[in-house]
Amino acid sequence: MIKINPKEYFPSLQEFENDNVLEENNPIMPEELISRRDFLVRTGFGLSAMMLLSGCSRAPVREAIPFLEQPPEITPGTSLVYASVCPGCSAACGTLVKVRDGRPIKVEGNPDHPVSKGGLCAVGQASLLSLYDRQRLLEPKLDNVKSSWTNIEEKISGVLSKNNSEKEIWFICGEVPSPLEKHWIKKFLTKYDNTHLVCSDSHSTSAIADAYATTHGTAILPRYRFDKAEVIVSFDADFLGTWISPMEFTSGWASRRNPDAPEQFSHHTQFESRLSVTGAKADLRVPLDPFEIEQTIRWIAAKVLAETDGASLPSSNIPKRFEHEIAEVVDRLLHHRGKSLVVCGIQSVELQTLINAINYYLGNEGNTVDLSNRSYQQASDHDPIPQLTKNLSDNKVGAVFFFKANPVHDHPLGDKLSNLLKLSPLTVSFVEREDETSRRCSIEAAIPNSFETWNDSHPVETVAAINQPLLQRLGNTRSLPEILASLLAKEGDNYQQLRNYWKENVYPVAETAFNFENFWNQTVHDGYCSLQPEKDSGRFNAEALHSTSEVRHKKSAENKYYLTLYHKPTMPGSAHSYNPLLHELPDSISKVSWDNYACISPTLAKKLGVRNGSVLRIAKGEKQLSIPAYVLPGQHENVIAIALGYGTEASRRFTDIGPEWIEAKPTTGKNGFVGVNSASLIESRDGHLSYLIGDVSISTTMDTHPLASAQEYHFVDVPEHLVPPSGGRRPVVLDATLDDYQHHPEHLVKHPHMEGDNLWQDDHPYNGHHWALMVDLSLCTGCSGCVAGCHIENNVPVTGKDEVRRNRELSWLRIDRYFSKEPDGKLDIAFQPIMCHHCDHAPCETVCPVLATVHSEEGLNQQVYNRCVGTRYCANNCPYKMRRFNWFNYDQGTERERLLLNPDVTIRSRGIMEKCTFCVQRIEKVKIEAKREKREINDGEIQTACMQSCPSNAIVFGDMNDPDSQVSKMLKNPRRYKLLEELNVKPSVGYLAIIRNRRSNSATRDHHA
Amino acid sequence: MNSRILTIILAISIVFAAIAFLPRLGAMRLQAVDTGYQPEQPIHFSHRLHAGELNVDCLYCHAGAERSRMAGIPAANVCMNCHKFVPATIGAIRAEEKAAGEENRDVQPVVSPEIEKLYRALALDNNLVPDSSMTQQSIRWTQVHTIPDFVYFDHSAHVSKGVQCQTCHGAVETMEVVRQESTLSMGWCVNCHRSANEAGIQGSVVAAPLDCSACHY
Repeated sequence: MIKINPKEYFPSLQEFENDNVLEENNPIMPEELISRRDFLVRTGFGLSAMMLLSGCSRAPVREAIPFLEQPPEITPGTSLVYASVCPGCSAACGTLVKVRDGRPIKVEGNPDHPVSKGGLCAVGQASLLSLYDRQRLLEPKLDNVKSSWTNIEEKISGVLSKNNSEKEIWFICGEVPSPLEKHWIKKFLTKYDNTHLVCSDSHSTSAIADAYATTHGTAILPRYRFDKAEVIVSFDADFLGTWISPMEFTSGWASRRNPDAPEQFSHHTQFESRLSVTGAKADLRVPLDPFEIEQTIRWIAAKVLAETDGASLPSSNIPKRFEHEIAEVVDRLLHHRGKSLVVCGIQSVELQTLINAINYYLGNEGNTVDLSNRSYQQASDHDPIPQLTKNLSDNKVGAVFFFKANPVHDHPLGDKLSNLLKLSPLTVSFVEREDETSRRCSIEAAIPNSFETWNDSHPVETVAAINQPLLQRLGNTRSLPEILASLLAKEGDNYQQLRNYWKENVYPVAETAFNFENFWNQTVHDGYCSLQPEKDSGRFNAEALHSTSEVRHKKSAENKYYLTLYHKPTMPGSAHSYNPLLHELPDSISKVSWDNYACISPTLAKKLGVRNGSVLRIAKGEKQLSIPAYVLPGQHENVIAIALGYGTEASRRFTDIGPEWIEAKPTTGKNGFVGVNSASLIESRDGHLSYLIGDVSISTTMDTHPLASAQEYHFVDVPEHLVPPSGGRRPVVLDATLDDYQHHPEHLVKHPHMEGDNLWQDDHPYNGHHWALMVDLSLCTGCSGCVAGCHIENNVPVTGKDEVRRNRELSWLRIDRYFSKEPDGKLDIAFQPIMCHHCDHAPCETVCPVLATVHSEEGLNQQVYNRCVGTRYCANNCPYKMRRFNWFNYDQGTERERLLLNPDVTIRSRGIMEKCTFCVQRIEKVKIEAKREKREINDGEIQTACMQSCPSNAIVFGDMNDPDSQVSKMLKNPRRYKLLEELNVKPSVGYLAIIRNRRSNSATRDHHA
Repeated sequence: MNSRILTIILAISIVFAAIAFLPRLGAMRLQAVDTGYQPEQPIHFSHRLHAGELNVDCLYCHAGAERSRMAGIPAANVCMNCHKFVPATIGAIRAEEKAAGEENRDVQPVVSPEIEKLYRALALDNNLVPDSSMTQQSIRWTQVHTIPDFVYFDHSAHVSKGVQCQTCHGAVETMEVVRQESTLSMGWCVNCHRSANEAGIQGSVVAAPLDCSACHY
């Protein structure tokens, strides 16, 4: 009989490596200046007097002010939902925005959207903060002084009319502009000669477009179909995290990860140099340095071409230690022709050309690589800044326009550019809030937030979407098309402009039987429309392969390292660094919030003698950077990884974001910012921004910069002195190979026998509903969308770095990350979202002295805020460590920022315990609706905020008393298990074990034995 | 010894403070559980006249009660549905007609002083013509029934189950000025839920929740 041993998963590195060297200094609480008893004695009198006097105040007289003329669609107290487009990044996912009493309060994914299919990442969830943000620019500025639009327009047209045709006009977009915006930019620029329009996303994919220009004759970005791919091979492409369209790709990838339909189950190989969330979910993860990755791509391309076409490409060596695995990858690809997908995230035209060849010869074009339905997400032109700086210093530039671009911060030549910008007679930045670039421009044109304007998007060839405004503009702002139209002396507000543009350009190619009026109404209602696909997308030209022989990455010299610059899934660029929620969200892999850091391997850390928080100096040529280290297994030992998008001026404001008290420490570092700007290390080569840099040297310093990690505490684990004889480490994460699961599903989960061990009586039947929540750990990518969604739905405040370091963050939902070692030494990573488990035998309830936490008839563990006196006994008794205490009255922002708060959820004050409620406000809303309509509640009708935001549908909420509900079916799945089931607390939250597409573990174990 | 003196001084000061506040205790009211609270409203609107004599349905004006958490105060345009045609009492209009006939002059528009306030809020003159010299002003009613903090109450859940408005709000159709009749305290809510579960509402069986999370979240 096959025996499957539960693998050991470790929550932190020091346990994983069994090494205390790496242990970080936790903040040490100072000795009390005054004893608790003394304190009570001295304040007792004062308090009693104050309580008596302050209790004698009158209840406030409240006013009720109705509308004078109530719009027919509005009923006070109810919400309206509008379809729109996520402003977070150029992936342009479809959203549904909940508007309550005229103010948007929640953004969710639009389940009907054909591209994003209902998922919305943390960035999209948190994008609403940008609307109410205190630092928004609400008026245009001329030479750093508030000005009027008339003055701004006069200045722009004045300078441009004097501009002779010799001087160049540059228009630089930092993100793919919408079709409407692009239309007006082009219209504006045609008026002048010698113009340059360049669009370059903050995370450029220009090499892919260039590669298609070489192989197919057209510079396009194809739409990758992970939902059709049975075999996925990715080279450093973090497609579940940040690459091109992560929500779309996650939903596609997840559709083929159901182990109960094994014939559909995909195989995913990830070659990568850092540890990404995509690598964490791969069936086979091969950590290689950039040089080895390049060798591997060349080797695989040569093999595939030799097998399919007979053409010969110069082969190369592959790393000896992975020879066997790489050969298997090639076999697998050849066995799945037309059903495989090879992607590469490296900014190198040669390598991307080889990837195109592999996909072409495997027959993937037209199947998993859709060229007729091209993507416009993250589409990027060549890097314009080197040419711009050169022309600026040659005095050849007449005007520079920046639109959502911040090259002074984001570009390696930023410093140079910042000094040269004054040489241009006109510098204009169209911005929502001031940034490094706009501060150096003579005109800062305040544009409205995306929640305030009509706009459109065109994520892929066949889908166009409409962004609709949800409230009146908060300031004196004008959208880019409005400004440009006004400069061209054309009339028309935002709405008319969009309608006219759609009538002329979109409606003719739309797939619709309606007339324009109906088509428009339908599209505004749905949020998107379908367009006809492109007819011709070019043919593969084998000649192009001859140019790919040159080796790009050199082997790094002795004591030199590779540096890879990446974006965190929760911080996709400097444009988001104003957002406190995104800073507070722990990174999916490192679990560090409020900083960026240099990820290094444990081997390198030992070699350098550093631990988490030791400041390293990273140098490439003359450029250098001081940044704290973070030790991360799974990282290749020659590779350092640093996140981009940090160290912005916008993050200065977070210095005192935390509660005000005597021991508060600033959230920002010594430089005054959150994190360090690493953009200076990007290399700009042949018009492409390269995020992989070779020949980097590291030196250590005596400095330390403490990091706030949310994984080094809240262990679901037994302290050493309490370990039962049966062993200490409990199987909190279960996993198995697909092979084992298919043949012996019954061995996967051993459910403990509970008879005779029952501390609690089963005396409370659940006759009506019994709510339950299941998480499929196979599908959870750790993207943290659920955490952000929970924060916003439930008014969970941001606490700041110092509070996170004191283990006092308030997040109701956390995602634990575990490391584990395969028998062959390979690293496995598991993510486990943990929220309140709503135990039927809840240990927290038995210890509450004031009955502030009690059980409901529907299985909810209720927390009654106005009964709670803050003893914190419940938090101590919670085996899942999922209760949060309000140590302070946390700042909910300025008056405008507080408009974001959900009116359906109480704001908790100091001294109150809080925790996940299963979004009881949503349960009650649906229950009341069903009552009103005299019907039963449908399965799936109640969606908790976390469930709604999950792009891979890993989280399912429902009624376990309903035998047909999805949650009941998941509870019968052989993969299901409850966390710490042996405690017999009967949690209502359950998990499905992780299944990886590998051969039987027992076989490999035998082999190694 | 020192602390003892301190205690005495503090005790005395508390007593003095209490005495100083005593006269104000009469005007004290606790939030929500304040039966008899009867604030003056900006317009003297008579529920006795509208809901009692004229028999206007409660839900005609408080339409939110059927589909929302809030019953809502009617918007001014709801008032205008009738008061476009009813500017004053019939007696006042007849009196003016009679007076005009006797004095042999044109009949002047008669607008009762309270309804005039409604017209002014909408920036209309007495002939219901928009007056450009005025701006529209919201009518700032004083809320009578306030729910304590930390509680979510939903009107629609109760109205759809057949609970009469008067069960909680009292016989509003007899009140000239609305006053709070019930305590709106938790015990009062829970008792009603319990008795509804036993006796049903208007003959039909109901399941009124007794869980904390039905109202507190």
